[in-house]
Amino acid sequence: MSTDPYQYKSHVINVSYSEISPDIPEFFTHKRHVFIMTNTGRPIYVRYGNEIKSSIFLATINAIFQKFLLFFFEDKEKQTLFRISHDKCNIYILQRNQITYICTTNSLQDSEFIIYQMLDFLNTQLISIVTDQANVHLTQKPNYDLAFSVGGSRNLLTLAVKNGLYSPCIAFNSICTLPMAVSLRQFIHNNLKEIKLPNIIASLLLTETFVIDIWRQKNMEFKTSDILIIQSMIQGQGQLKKGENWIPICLPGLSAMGFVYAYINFFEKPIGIVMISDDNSLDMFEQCKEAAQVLIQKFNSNNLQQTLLSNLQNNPNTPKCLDKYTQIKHFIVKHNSGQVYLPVFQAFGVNNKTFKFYMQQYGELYKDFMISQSLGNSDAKQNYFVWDSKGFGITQYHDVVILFCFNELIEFQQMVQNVHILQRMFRTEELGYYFVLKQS
Amino acid sequence: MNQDQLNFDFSVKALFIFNPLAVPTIPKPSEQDQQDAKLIYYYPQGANIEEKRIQTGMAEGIFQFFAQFNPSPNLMEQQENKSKNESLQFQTIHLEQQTHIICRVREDLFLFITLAHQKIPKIKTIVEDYFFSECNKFHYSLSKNLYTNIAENFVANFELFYGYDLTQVNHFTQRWILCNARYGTVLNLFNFQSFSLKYAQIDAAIYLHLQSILTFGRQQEAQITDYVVFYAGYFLFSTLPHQKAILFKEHYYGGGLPWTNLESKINLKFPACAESQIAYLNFFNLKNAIREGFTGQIVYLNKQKKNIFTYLDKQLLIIAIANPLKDLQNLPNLVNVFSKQIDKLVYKLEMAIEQSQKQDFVRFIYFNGVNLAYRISSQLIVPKMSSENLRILQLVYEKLNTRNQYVIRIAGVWFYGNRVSERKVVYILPANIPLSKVEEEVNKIAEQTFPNLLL
Repeated sequence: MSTDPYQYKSHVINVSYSEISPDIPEFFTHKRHVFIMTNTGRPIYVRYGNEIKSSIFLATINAIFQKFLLFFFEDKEKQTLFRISHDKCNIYILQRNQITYICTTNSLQDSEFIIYQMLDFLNTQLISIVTDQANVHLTQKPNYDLAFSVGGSRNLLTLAVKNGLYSPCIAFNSICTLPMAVSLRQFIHNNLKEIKLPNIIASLLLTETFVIDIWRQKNMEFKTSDILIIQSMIQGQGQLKKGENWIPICLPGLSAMGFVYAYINFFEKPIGIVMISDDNSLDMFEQCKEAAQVLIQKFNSNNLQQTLLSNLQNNPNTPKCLDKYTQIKHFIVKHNSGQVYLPVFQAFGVNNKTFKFYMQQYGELYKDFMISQSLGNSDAKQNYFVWDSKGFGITQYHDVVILFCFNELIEFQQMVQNVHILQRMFRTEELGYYFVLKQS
Repeated sequence: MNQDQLNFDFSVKALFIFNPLAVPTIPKPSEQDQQDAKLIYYYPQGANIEEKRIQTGMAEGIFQFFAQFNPSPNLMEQQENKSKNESLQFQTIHLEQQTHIICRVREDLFLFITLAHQKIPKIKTIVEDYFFSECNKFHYSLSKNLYTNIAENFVANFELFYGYDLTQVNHFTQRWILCNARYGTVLNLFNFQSFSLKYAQIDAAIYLHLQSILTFGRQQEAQITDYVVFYAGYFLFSTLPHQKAILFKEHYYGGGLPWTNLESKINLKFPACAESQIAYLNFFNLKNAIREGFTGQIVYLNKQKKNIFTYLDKQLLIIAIANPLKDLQNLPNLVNVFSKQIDKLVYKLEMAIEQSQKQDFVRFIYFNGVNLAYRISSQLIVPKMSSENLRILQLVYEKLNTRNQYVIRIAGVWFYGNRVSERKVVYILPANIPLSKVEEEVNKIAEQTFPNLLL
């Protein structure tokens, strides 16, 4: 596959689909649909179509759900309806507080796991747009019109759907870290740390798709999901990559009810710095600006921009084992700290059909792994391993989980050798190259 | 959540059959009359009439509404599918503690089953909460095939033993639940997936002996077209396709009914029909027919009505299927042939079964869709199969439908699944065997147990 690894190709959002509606037969020719509605059936977002034209349709769905739940239970205790399967079609339903998310798909290859992760990320994105006050309003006034509050951020939701369906970062709740030498990462980290300010919660050095380094305030957990929201916002709003920006943003992992402020400066495209602060004053913006300048100068004097740009040029890379051992077709490595290493393909944006196929298989493998982790006792949580004759498998190895795709036709022993090759690549002492690990 | 908290028992909470095309025959029908006309049967019968009406309407509505999302074949393809008898369409609706199955048998016949089960657990994909404690927590439903198997089984049995005679559906439903229940009204999801024939390892001599008895039997009654034969629950022989033989086996053998010669035990499960003429499919032992007298039992094979006679003695069950008999005068001769000839056969069978049960093989489970063979070894230390192991076994079995191999290490155990055409074998080994040695261990077992079977 020939892609310019340096270039992220953004998803294209076709706005003409807003004209179709459920009463037109073409509506049902789409492979997938996503609906967001309140628990009373008021539309918030639909893909495809528009919310007004879909309101009756959604009201019908909601009425079916409500009546269904009411009339099949003696004790009237509300249960969660989470899936409907009809012949070749699956409908997944996710309820988050006062909002219901529905995804229908008639592609049987679609991974259930990935769909649910997408819906959950959609919820995170929606809350980021309207804050969790929306749920409070809906509790008090069930007919509250949330679609109006979403307004112009509709495209962010569509982007969240696309990223959710295709990005391993959303699927595995992980950020995609840029591989680099430990010494370089340490140097960058020290510089980020040096420019810290009292009201800065976290600083990130990143691109639209990669995270280069993170500095957090002590004892502060900066959630993966929030970083993905930030990257999603940058992908969806091109103006953020120009000049300096000081914008309010709701990061649900930090504070779902209100806003924090983000200083964003893509000083050397595609590399940018993001600083998150709970102080929205102009003074804070000025301080962030100065701190960013210090960092930029430090980078300049060490020629760090060039180093990073050339590093980005080589990523996503094709590791030697994929070139040398033709039986290893692909793999993804997820670190249990919520980071992912993805060779060959972009973590976001448009990838080819091969990767979509890989992700569907990886999704199901990861789902079975997650189920076993949840259900099993402590013995069951170690050394999990799966391999099937389609070539796909998963191996749990110390702090990482490796999902792999081998050639279908290989013998068992060859598969074992390939697994060992991958495990050697990701021995504990090698992980610092791939992931941002806690600094000692 | 630990592995003992998940099990796959369920009970049938409701089962109803409706015809969405039915119209009331009375003049000027009310809305209630219209709803009542559609509802053909409802279990349990004591349910509130209003709820019955509403549920029927809801079931029809849900099925039609969500069918819109299905990529539908064109009308021509639909007609083709109907004529090929592939018209069963399923919709499953998954809730935490209930799963509903809607099965479109025909345009004018829908089946709706509500299964109540233990709460489906939520799986958390990340350790910490985000802003909402339910973040990244999802229900993961079991494969929908596990549920549709149940409806399919109901429909297949109803077609075979009653020919879709809707006047008999209550009796059939009572028996179907009874046949398949582990206890009370509790059934098990995996049982329906793994319905199969347990294969008795008989040699050619036993096989030929059986054939000669059956041939003598056919000479007594020329209208006999088919036989299905079991011994102590093990499958011996069938002239019918094996999938049909499985239905017969489950219908008589039931869900784990200990197969003994004690007719009192059989009568506990299938009470004598003297209490009610039409309560159950009559389990009349031909052996006692002369004393008790009986009417013919019916089955419907390939939509043709047939008579069926069951002979049970010393754990040997012979099911004879004949074209509808105008008179039963030859049956005493048939009984005579069986009772005089089977002693030697039973003696040989007893020894063969006992021997194979004692053989010390490693633990494996072998399916070819009709034959089930499993062995437990005292040498191999594999932990007792927990609910989690059973869940994984079901997963492996299902994955082997679309793959030739599936290997998983989990919960202290290796499951190594192999499939060659319709034959599936799952080897269960302790997890301390390293990955590099698993295949070697499996090959040792295969060479001992399945030489020349190309597994």
